[in-house]
Amino acid sequence: MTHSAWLVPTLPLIASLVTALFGRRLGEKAHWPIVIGIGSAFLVSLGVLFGLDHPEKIHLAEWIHVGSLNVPLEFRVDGLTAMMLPMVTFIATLVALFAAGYMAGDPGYTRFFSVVGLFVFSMTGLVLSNNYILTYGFWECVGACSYLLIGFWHEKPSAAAAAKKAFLVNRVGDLGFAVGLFWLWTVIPDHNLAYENVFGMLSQISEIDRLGIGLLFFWAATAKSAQVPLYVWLPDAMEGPTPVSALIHAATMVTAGVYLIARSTPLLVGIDTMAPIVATIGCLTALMAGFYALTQTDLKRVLAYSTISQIGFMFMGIGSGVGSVVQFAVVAGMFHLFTHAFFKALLFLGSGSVMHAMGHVIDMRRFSGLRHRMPITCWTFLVGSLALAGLPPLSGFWSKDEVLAALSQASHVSEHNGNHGVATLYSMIYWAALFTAGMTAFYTFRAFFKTFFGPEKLPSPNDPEAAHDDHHHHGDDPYFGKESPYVMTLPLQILAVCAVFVGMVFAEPTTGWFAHLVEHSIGFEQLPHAEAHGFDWVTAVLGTTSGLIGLGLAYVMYAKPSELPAKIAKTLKPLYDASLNKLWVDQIYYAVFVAPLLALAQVCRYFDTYGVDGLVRTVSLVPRNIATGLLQRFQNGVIQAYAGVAALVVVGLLVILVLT
Amino acid sequence: MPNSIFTSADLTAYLAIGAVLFGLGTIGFLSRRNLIVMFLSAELMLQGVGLTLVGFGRYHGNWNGQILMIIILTVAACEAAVSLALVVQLFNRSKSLDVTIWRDIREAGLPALVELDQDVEPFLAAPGSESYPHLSPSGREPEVSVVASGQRAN
Amino acid sequence: MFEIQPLQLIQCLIACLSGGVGTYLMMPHRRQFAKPGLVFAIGLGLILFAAGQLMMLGGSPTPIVSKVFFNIFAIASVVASALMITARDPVHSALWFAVVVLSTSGLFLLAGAGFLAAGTVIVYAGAIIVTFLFVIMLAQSEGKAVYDRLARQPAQATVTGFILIWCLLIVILSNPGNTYFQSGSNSSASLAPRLIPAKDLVNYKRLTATNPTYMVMGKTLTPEITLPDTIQATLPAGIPQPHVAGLGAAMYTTHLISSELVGAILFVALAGAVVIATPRVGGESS
Repeated sequence: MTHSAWLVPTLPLIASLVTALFGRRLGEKAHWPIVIGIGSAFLVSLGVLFGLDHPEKIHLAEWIHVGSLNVPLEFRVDGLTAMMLPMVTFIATLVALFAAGYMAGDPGYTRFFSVVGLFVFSMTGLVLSNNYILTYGFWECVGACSYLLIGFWHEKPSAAAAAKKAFLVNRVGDLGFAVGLFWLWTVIPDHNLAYENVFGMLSQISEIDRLGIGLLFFWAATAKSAQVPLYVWLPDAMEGPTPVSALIHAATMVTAGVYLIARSTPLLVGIDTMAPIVATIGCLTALMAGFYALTQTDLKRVLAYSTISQIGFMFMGIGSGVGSVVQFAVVAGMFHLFTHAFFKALLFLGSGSVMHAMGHVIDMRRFSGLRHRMPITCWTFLVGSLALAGLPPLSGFWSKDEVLAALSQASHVSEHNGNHGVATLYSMIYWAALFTAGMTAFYTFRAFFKTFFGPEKLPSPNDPEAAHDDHHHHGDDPYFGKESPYVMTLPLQILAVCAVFVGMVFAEPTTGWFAHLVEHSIGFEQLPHAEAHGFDWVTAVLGTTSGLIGLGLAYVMYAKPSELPAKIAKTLKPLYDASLNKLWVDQIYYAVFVAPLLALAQVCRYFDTYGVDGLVRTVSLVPRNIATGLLQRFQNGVIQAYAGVAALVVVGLLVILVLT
Repeated sequence: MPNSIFTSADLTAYLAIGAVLFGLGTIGFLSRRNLIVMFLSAELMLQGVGLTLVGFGRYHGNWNGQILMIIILTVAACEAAVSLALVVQLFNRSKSLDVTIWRDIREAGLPALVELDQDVEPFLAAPGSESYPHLSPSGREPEVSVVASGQRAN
Repeated sequence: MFEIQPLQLIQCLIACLSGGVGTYLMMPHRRQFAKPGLVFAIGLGLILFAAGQLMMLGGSPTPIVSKVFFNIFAIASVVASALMITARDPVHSALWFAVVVLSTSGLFLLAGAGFLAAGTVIVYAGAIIVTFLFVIMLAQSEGKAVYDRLARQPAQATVTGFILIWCLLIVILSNPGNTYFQSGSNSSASLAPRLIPAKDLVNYKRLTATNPTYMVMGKTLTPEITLPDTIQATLPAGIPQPHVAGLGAAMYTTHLISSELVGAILFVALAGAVVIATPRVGGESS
């Protein structure tokens, strides 16, 4: 089954093309090619997962062959890929199914599904590709698809702006990837950037080169995976349709950065400075995003910040790879990515279901107490929230626990190696991560309680918070205030089941299946690893306690209407404002980067208008004045006048012929 | 004649006559306003060119000049066919063969120069009354219904 | 390159001036009265004078009969074309054009292009002019149209035309290959010296006699108009060389593609004329 892995990206691509070509004819059924295409890709990838006994290369075709540069169209199936493929296709299938209900009646129905197919194609291709250049190509495809989907409602200015922002911020990151590729190309003796070749030549690459390349790749990953300092695009990406958010946050987009760093681990291992940098950035991101999420009133925005925060956790996991912890660290980070995909997709689809029922209102101040009206959404959302909060025995618990355990081990190993500064750093990160876990539980359940508990309230245009662009008429919306249709709740229930069990099935302390898979990826066998880590009870208890405290706080403050939140907000006014305004990062970026660029553009514009164009216009005045003043009257429309001029020209030619 | 020698002086004579015909054709094309006379002038220019070609062909002792002239002859026939069709169309539109009516390709915004049609030479009718041959009827005149003739007029 | 002699220059100038003045005198004018016959007579005389000058400028074929006929045809063609472009009635124009064509055909005949002369008479005088006359009859509005009796800027047109003629004559007479006036006598030099460079260039004699290139080059380089050997061989002995055979041989060997193209052009023109001339039912032209 492994050799048919090339079908995994191909099927969604074909489905996408079919939808794009025949979409108009398919009309209301435009989602069928995509659902079938991605669904069968999921089945194939399941076959790949279970049929995998040894890593395999699939050579499809030559792609680029220029001079010493040889980039084949080649796929690689190993543990990491076999793990990612079913996850991506599974979630994408459910999202597509959900979107069939959610997007029904949208004028761009066909376009939406076509791009979704392309998105899945890009992501699976990215995961499968066997060399850095092909990875880069798919990386860019993913960026382009995200641009198309975030700006799906492009007639809405905010959506267009959000798409542009996402694209531009990603370009800033892609620059890092590109420069890193060039660098890597120069240091690899035979210029072959296939993974096995790069990892086989590690001894010939100097440490400083590896650090530089690693940092550039990490720079790219911060953009794609929304880390400090390039995370600003992800919250705005909420402008896209909610299924897109689920896709981006869970399966196809933000995980690409984590995947890239995890894939490159063999390249980066043994450099002492790299891992702490990754962990620190991850920790900073997790803290900041969690802090922002505390006060957001937009349900989807809360989830967006929680995604950023959780990806910070993943990077903390990968970043704890010092000494003998490297292999365990990668497993922890990737495992958190894996479980996170399920419950984050669940939460986003749940919020989409809420939005669908609320007439596209997503402001939590405008609705509450929906648990009776939307029971299925409520229960599935609760499962997702519990998983995100990391409470046992749900999936989030296992992966978060592994990340925390990796951090604590990293601290121990550094201490053991006599590296006290790094050890202190790691223990600080450990405690910060525990604190973030508590915050996560708090804001997740704040959102849950505000949405599903309290007095029942539906959005009405008379609300003081009602946005002025709220022009939906609820009267003609058959789903307003009701549970979503079956096609939407079914994926929610499936995902809820997964969010409960997926951690247990794969986790290190239970089966160790996941670790076994990831360890059999290219270059991973050689990673330093310690023997059998026991289950770290201290970390587990601490993490769970932290989560429970957050949950309890949220229950006290938000489960019933109370004055407490307002009071706290008043007491901690500066902190509250800082959180609400996201530390004014957007404003700072605007002042530091955007405004000077705009000023420069303005200068260029004036130079162009008055400098260059002025010169051109001045020159153009000469022929124009000659024409209007002198030549125009010869253009009088009389054929014979033209013929006379022609005859005179012949005379002139003859004179020249004779005289020269 | 074919076996006599064709000197460069002979060639010069042919070329000179060809040039004169060409020039006179140019004058006619430039000054006459009747579309048909203009085309006749253009044919005159072609005749001048033909003389030149035949002279050169004879001078070089090969057939190329004559063959080129045959080609010109054919193209002239084509040109006459197409241009006369155009003339008929233009006449149908304006009921006149005057070329100065057609000035639509002039520069936008430029006033149309109106040809002054006064001070024209009087028309000199041929002396004597116009006489047409008188034919005696050769049979009974066919009856033509009003409706049919009306249809034909359309 | 400018090798013309001052005498020729002055001769040209006189011919052009007199011809130009003559043409202008015969052109329609804007005087509200018909031009008196005397003016026409003067104009015609000036044109005749100019034509005579032209005859003196150029040479003429050596045998006396040829010389006489050449001069008759040349002067006839020039005078008839002047009359053609000045005639008030388009029918007269067409008839004068027929005269031009006939005299040109005579000149063709004198240049050894018998078939072409016949073809020109048939095609032009027989077909094209008749077509013109048909159209004139078809489109004539009362036969007394104002625009036929008004020339458009006759002075400028005449000046332009005769400057053109003058320039052309100068160029023709200062042709570097023109040895006639430089030697001052009728030089009947052989063509062979002028053709040697061409021979050297192609060196066609190396080829075998049956090679098509050899045949074409042979025809091209032979001063006499003769038939290729292959056709000559098929003729019964004693029969003179047919003129048309050589022309046809050249036309369907060397110039085959041109002939085909001309046929295509004829076909296209036929279709075009049919499309253009068909009255459109319901179109803007009623």
